[in-house]
Amino acid sequence: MKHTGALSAAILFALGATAQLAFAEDLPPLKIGLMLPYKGVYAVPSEGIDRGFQVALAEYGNSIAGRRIEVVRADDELTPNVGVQQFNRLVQLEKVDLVAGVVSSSVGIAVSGLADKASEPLVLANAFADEITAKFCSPYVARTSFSANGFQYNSGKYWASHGIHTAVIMGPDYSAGHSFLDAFKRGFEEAGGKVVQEIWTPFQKTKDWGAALTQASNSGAQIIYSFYAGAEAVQLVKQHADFGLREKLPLVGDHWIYDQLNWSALGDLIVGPEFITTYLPTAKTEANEKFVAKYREMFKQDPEVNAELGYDNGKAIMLTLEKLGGKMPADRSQFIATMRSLVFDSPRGKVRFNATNSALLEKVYVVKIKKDSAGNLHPTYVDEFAGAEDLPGCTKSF
Amino acid sequence: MQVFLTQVLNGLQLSMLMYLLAAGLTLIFGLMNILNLAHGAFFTLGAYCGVVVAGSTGSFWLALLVGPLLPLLLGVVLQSMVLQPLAERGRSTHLDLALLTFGLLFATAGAVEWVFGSAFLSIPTPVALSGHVNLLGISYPVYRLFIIGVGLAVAVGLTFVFDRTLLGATLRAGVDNRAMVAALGVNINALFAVVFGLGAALAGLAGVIAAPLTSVYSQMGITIVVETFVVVVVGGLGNLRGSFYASLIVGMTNAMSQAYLPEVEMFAIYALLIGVMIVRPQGLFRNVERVA
Amino acid sequence: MSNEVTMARTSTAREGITLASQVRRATLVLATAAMLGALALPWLSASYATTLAIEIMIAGIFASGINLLLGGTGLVSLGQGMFLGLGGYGVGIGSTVLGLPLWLSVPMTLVVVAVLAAGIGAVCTRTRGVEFLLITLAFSQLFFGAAIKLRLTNGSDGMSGIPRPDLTFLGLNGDNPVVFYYYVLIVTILVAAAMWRIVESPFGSILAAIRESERRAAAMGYAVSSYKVGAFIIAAVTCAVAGILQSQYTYFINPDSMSWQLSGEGVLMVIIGGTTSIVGPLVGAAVFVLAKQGLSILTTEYMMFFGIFFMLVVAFFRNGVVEALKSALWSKP
Repeated sequence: MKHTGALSAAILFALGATAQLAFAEDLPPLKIGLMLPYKGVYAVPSEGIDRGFQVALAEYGNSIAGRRIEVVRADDELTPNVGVQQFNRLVQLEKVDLVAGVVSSSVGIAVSGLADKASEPLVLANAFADEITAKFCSPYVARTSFSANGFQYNSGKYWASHGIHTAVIMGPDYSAGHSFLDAFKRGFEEAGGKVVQEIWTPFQKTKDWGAALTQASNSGAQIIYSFYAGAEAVQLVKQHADFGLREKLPLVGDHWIYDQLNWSALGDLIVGPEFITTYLPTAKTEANEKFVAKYREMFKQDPEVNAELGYDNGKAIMLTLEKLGGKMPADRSQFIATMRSLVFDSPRGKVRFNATNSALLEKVYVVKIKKDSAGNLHPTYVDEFAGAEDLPGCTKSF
Repeated sequence: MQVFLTQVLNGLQLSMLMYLLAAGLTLIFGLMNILNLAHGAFFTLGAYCGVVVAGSTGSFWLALLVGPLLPLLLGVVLQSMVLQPLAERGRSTHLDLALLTFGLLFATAGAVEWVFGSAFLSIPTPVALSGHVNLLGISYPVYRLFIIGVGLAVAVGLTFVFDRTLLGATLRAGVDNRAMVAALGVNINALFAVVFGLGAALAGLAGVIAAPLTSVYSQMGITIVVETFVVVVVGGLGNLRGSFYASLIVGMTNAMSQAYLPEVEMFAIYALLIGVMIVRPQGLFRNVERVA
Repeated sequence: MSNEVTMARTSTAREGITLASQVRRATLVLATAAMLGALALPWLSASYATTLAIEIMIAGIFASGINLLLGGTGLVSLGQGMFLGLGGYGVGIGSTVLGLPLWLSVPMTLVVVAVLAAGIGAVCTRTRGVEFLLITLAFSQLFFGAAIKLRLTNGSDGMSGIPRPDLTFLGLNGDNPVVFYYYVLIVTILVAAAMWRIVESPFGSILAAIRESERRAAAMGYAVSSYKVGAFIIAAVTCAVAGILQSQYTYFINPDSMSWQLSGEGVLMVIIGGTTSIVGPLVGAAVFVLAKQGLSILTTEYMMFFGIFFMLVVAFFRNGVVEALKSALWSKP
C-alpha cells in the first residue's frame, strides 16, 4: 500500500519512455538558419520574405525524407558586422546545416566571404549586387533571386525605347543601389538615352530628400529613375509628391519603391506611377495560383514580391534537399552544386541557375496600380520584357 | 538659383527643428552641467506619443498638443527622482550622469521598438498644411514652412521668457552662479526639475513636428542627439540666443553641403565643431559669463 | 597593560599581513587558472566558445586603450572608435588597394595612427571634462563621415578580403579559428604586459598624478599637455591594434566600426570591469560580450535590456565588477 504512489510513477515513466522510443525519429532534424534584417529600414520587406519562406516549407509539411525541418532565425540588423556574428552563431552554436536569407548586398558580401572560408553553404534570398556571384563568387554560395544586372539592364533599354530620352538617377549609396542603377544606366545609354545626373544619398542615414529632389528637378531630365526599399522608399515617394513633382518629373522605379507592403502608408500616391516588377500576383500559372492560395490560407493576405522571393529561396532549398534524399553531403559544396542543376516553375516564372550559382530572371513586367470602384488596389499589366544575363567576373571554376 | 532658394528654405526648416532640441539641451547643460544624452529619448517619445494620439483621434493638432506631455512628465521625474538624488549622494560625477543618460537613450529606443515594432510609423500631414505653394519661382511644401513658423514662434517665446520674466532671470542667474542662486533662497531643485521638463517637452514637440516629414522609428533619437550637441557647443553652453544662431549655422551647413558639396555632407558640421572648439571653445556667441 | 596593547596591535598586524598574503596567493592562483584556461580553451570546448573568446579579447584590447585614458589619465574619450576603425582601414587599404604584405601594412598603419593621434590629441587635450568628450566625439564623427563618403574606403559597403597573418612559414593556416585564437591570445598578452609596464613606470605615475589633480602636476613642473598627448597616442595605437585584429577576424571592415555607439560600448566595458586594474577592461569586455550574446539569444529586444543594464552598472557598480568582487570576497572580517 505504502509504495503505490512510487510504483505508479515508475510504471508511468516506463510507459512514457517506451512511447518515446516507439515514436523516435531515425535522423535528427535538419536545421536551416534564416538570417534577415528584422530590425531597421528593411524590417517590413523582411517579414514578407519570412512568410514566403514559410509557405515553401509548408508545402513539404516542414519535413523532408522523414526528417523534421527546424528554422533558426537570426537578425543581421542590416549591418555586416552583426551579420558576421550571427552567421558564426548559427553555424557554430546552433549547428545549422545551411544558412538562408540575407537581404542586404553589403551583408551578403561579408557573409559570403565567411561562408567560403568556413566551407558552409549559404543560399541568398536577395543580395542582388552583381559582385556577389562575380568577383566574390564561391562554390558555397548560391543566390535564388536574381542579379541587379538581370533585373535592371533591360529596364534601361525598355524606357529608352518608349519615349524617355533623359533621366536622372537617384539611389542609396551602397552596393545594391549602385548595382541596380548602374545596370539601368548601361541599358538606357546603350539604347540611346542619356543619364544627365546621378544623385546618391547616404544609405540608412537620409531622412530628408529635399536637396536631392531639388537637384533632380533642376537637372532638366524627363524622369527620375530610382531604387529604394523599405522606409526610405516611403519617404521618397511622399516627399516627391510634397514638392509637387508628380506631374513635372515622374518617379519611375521598381517593386520596392512602390512596395505593396507600403501601400497603406502611401495612400492615393500609389495610383498612377508605372513601375517594373518581377512578380505579378494575378499571373495565371499553376505555380503562382498554388502559391497565392497557400499564402492566403496561412496568412489571410495576398502575397507580394518580397514573399515571392522568400518562397523561391525556400523552394530551391527544399527541392535540393529532396534531390539529396534529405541528407546533407559531407562536402557542402555538393549541396550548392545540386541546387545549381535545378530548373523549376516558380510564381515568377521559370527559375534556372547559371554557372556561378546565380538564379536567372525569365521576365520582368511593367505594371500600373489601378483603383477599382470598391476602392481596392490592383496591379495591372502594362508590358513585359526579358530578364538579362549576369555580368561576368568570376575567376574561380567549380 | 532655384536650387539655392530651395536649399535656403530647407536649411531654415532643418535649423528650426534643431533649435527646438538645442534650446532645451543648452539650458540643461548650462544650468546643471549634465550632458543629457537622453534628450534624444524625449524626441523619440514625443514622436511616438504623437503617433498614438493622431492614430486614435485622427487629429494632428491634438497630437501636437498632447505629444510633448509625456516627455515633460518624464523629464521632471527623471531629474527630480533619479539624477538629482544621485548627484547629491555624491555617488556620481557628471560623467556618470552623462553615461546614465546614454543608457537611458538606448533603453528607450529598445522599449519603443518592443511596444511598437520596427516598422516605420508616421503621422499624416494635416490637410490644412498639405500641398505646396509657389514661392519666388519655386514650389515648396507648406508643411516645411509650418515647421519654420513653429521654430520662430518658440524662439520668440523662449527669448521673452528668458529676458523678461522672473523665471528667466532666475535661470540666467543659475547659469552664471548656481550656488549664489541657491543661497538667495530659490528652490534650486524645483528650478532644475522645471527646466529639465521644459527642455524635454521641447524635444517631444520637435518629435511630433518631425513625424509627418521624416517618419517615426526607434532609433530616431540616437541619430539626432549628436547633431544637437554640435549646435549646443557651437552656440555656447547655456546661451539660448547663441543656440538659435548656432542652429541656423549648422542647419544651413547641412543643407548647403547636401546640395553643393555632397562629398562633405556627412561630416561638415563636425569639422565646423572642431574649428569652433579650437578657436573659441566657449562657443561662438558668448555673452553670458560662466564660472569654471 | 602595555603588554596587552602590544599584543593586540601585533595580532591585528599579523592578521593584516596574513590577509594581504592570502589575497596575493589567491590572485596568483586565479591568474594562473585563467592563463591555463585561456591556453587550453580550444581543446576544452566547442568552437563557438573559441569564437566568443576571440571577440572578447579584441574587445578587451580596445577597452584597455580606452582605460589608459580613462582610468590612467582621467580623460573620458567617446571617440576611440575612430582609431579602431583607422587600424582596420589601414590594413584594408594597405592590403586590398596598395597590395602590400601584412608585415608592411601593419607597422605602417600603426605609424600613421600614431601621427594622426599626435595631431588630434594636441587639439583635444586643450580641453577637459565634458568638452574633451565632445571634441573626441566630433573627431570620431568626422572620420566616420569621411569613411562613408570616400571612394578610397569603398563607402558604406566597407572593404572585404582583408587577409589574416600568413603563418605558412610556421606550417599553420591563419584561417583556422584555433590558430587565429592563439594569434589573438599572444597579442592580448603582449598588450596587457605593455599596459602594465606603462602604468607602473614613471610615465604612468605622472599620468596618475594628472588624473588626481592637473594643477598640482603642473605646479610640480611637469609638462602636463605633453604627457596627455603621449597617453592619447599610446591609447590610439592600442585601439588601432584592436581594429587590425577585428578586421582580420571578419576579413572585413566598414564605417560602423567607427560609430560613436561603438566607442560608448567600449567605455561601458571599462566601467563594468573597473578602471583601477589592468585586467579590469578585459573582465569588462568579457562581461559585456557574454551579456550581449546571452541577451540576443534570450530576446529580440536586446537593446532595451542593454540600456537598462548600462544604467544599473553606472548607478550601482560605478567602480566596476573587479572592485566589487574584491571588496565582496576579501572584506575584512
